[in-house]
Amino acid sequence: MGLIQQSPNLLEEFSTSENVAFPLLFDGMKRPHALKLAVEALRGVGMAHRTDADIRSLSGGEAQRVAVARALVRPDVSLIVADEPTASLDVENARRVTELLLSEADRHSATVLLATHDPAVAALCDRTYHLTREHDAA
Amino acid sequence: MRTVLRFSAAVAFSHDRRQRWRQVCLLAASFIATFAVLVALGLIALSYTSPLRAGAMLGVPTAAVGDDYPGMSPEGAVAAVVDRGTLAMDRQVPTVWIEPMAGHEDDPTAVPPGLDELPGPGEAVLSPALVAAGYTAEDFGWLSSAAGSGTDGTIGDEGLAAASEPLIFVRPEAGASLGEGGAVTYIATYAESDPNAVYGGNSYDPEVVSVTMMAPGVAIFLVVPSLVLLISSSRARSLVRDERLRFLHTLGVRARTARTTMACETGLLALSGALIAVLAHAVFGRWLTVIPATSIRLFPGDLSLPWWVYLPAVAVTVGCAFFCGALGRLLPRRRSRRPRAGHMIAVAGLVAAVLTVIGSATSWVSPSVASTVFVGGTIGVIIFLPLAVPTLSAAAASSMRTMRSPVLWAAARRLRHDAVHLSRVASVLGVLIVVVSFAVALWGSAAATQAEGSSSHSSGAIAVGWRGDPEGGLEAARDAFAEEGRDVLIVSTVSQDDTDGPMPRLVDVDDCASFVAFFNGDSADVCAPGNGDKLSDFAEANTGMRTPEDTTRLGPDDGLGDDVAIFSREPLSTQNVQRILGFLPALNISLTASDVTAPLPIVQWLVAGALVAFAILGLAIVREIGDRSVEDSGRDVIYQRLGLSLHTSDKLAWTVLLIPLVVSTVTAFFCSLVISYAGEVLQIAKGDTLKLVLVAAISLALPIGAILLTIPARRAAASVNRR
Repeated sequence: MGLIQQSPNLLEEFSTSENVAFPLLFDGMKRPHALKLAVEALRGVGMAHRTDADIRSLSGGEAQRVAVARALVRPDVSLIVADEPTASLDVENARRVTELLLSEADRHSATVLLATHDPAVAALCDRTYHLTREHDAA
Repeated sequence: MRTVLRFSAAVAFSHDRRQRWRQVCLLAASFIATFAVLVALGLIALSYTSPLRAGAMLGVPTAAVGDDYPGMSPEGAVAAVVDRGTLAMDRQVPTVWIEPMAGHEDDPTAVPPGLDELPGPGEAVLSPALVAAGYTAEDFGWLSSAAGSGTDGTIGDEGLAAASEPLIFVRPEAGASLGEGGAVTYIATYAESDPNAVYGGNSYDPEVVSVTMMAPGVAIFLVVPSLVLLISSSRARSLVRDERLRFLHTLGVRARTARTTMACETGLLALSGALIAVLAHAVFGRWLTVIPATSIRLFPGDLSLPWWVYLPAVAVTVGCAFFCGALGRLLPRRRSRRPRAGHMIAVAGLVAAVLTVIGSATSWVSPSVASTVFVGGTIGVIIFLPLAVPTLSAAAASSMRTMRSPVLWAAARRLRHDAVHLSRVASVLGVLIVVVSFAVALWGSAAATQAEGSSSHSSGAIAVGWRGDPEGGLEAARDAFAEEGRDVLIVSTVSQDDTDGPMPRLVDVDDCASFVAFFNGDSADVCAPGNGDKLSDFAEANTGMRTPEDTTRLGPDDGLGDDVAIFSREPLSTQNVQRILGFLPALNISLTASDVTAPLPIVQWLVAGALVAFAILGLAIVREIGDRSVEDSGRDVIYQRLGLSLHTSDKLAWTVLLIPLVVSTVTAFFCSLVISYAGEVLQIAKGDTLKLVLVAAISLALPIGAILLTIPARRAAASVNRR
């Protein structure tokens, strides 16, 4: 399972690729192999040119794309839970990140469970459910 | 400026709960720091005034005649005095034997301060501390006198350095005299005091240590630790403060103005704590009489200060807080792999300070300035060590960054990235270890000096001396023991001419048969004419002293001396000898190490200083851990979102904490070793590796224990953050 949140939760002390490789390293994977997979994941989200970048130099959209790469980095990932992943992004970046998330998930044959307030983002999903409070629905 | 102040005040005294931790930390720290500075100033002032007050007890000696020193001539004297020491409270209690000169028996100028009149012949006046400890004049073989101006006729405050000062004034019995010359000092008047008088100079240690020891002592053990606590607290976390700073940044406020705002916020909180401390000191300062963990008690009002002294004390603490507040980070750090120049300067400073300490113990440094260089180097270590710990921790982390273990790798990367912030606890720990180790080394030296200063009698004899008639005194002493029914042997001892080096004392046997019989020898054999060597061998075997030979050159009587040696078949305590022979004028009993077991005042002051420093710096460590706990709870949430287990994130947090702690402990321990052993060379301190290891281990256990205690709070905070 991979998790993406509104905040990308990247760790400042690591480079972009190390942030992506972080979960793999703690799964016990050898560092060179984990970093190789991280670079591949970053390539998948269009961040191959920033693999060694300082996290604080990334834009909001770039940081969220790194978070997407990190959620998808496990080879056997089958479910991505995304909680408002585009809430802090502008319209264009929100669309790009969502498309990327969905296409990469598709490539990994993973399911994405995405919560959003943005109808444009919801429209990109295969299936949508509207969650309302009981008394609102009534 | 008015806007800045109003903005700062609004942040400082915000009702927002997120500002509460910072408010509590800064108020408490500025209170402690200001109070500590005020107490430090009071103690320094006391170390000036106390000897002057107690020095009045010495009176003004008679003028010097010819090449003599003042006090050696009886011309114009109202009294003759001899300073002795009496065993009480497990220490050598200063005892002033006072004998009015003929015609001055009722002369008020012959009465020392603290007395209303001279005690009667054979009477003694005790200080309140001795009476409180349960002693009476009769315990020492004298009669009680109520001639003192204090409560119940004890010595009044005006003649004492401190309330806990043990002191005795005693007057020889009628017909007995202190004699002339030698240890006698002639006093011209007690109505004035001698500005050159050195209280306790030769014979004993006053309760309040001298200003040359007090000033650096309070600086190292009281002021520096409390300022470390204040500096630490000025960095206490507050989300309200962070938000307001971001707000100022968003508005485009200049960095200088933003810094002023931050400094004012910190300064205002510190000012509040400082004013409370001033109020507390003004109201309760008069009643600060107890030096913690010691038997030293001061007089009420001893630590009171004039009102104007409060101003610099407040200025120091508020200024320190203001300065530290302005140093806060305005924007997120820029990443730099290179250590900042300031950090390298700190390491260089630490190395220079350690080399200075080492240098002070070498022959390159003149002995006249070696102590000053040593103290300067030690203060340098205390200043530069906390500044150097982040750089050393970062260096240690760099060496671990290629580790295979992901926990070590991640911890090393985090440390290297933010070494200053993550080494705060370790920095304070380093100061704590050095300061407490320094106190332990000084204490070790003072305790060793005390043990060396007490003689030991391998023969089991008690050496006794007195003033006046030696022969008459010897007979009187024998009679006194006989009246008590004690089977003792009292023999005279003589000193040899020691101009060519130290020479042992000799026993002067006046009655060979009694002497030999006392030790169950054959007097017919040993005392036979021409058997001088045999007697000498016998004496050495039983008393540890030989008898004089024809060629022996005897030395002059030093007047302080061990005039006789008392041997007893049954156990005979120093207290018993004092009680039985108390009538001898200016009785002097040589005390042994087992008699004088009470710690010297300097040792007690050092213990108090070490404890206070440990408590204040321990508080600073606990405060830093409070900040760390909040920050680590945020980290825990991120780690868990990345899939790390609670156990793994705990391991990471512990590793990040322990690396700087270990680096700091090892560095501080090394510095402490250097300071102690260099101090030992200079005879200031005493190196004791085991004690230093214990200090380092206990100090290291403090933050680790505190963190273990904060784990539940961290879990709770992490739970709130997750939600």
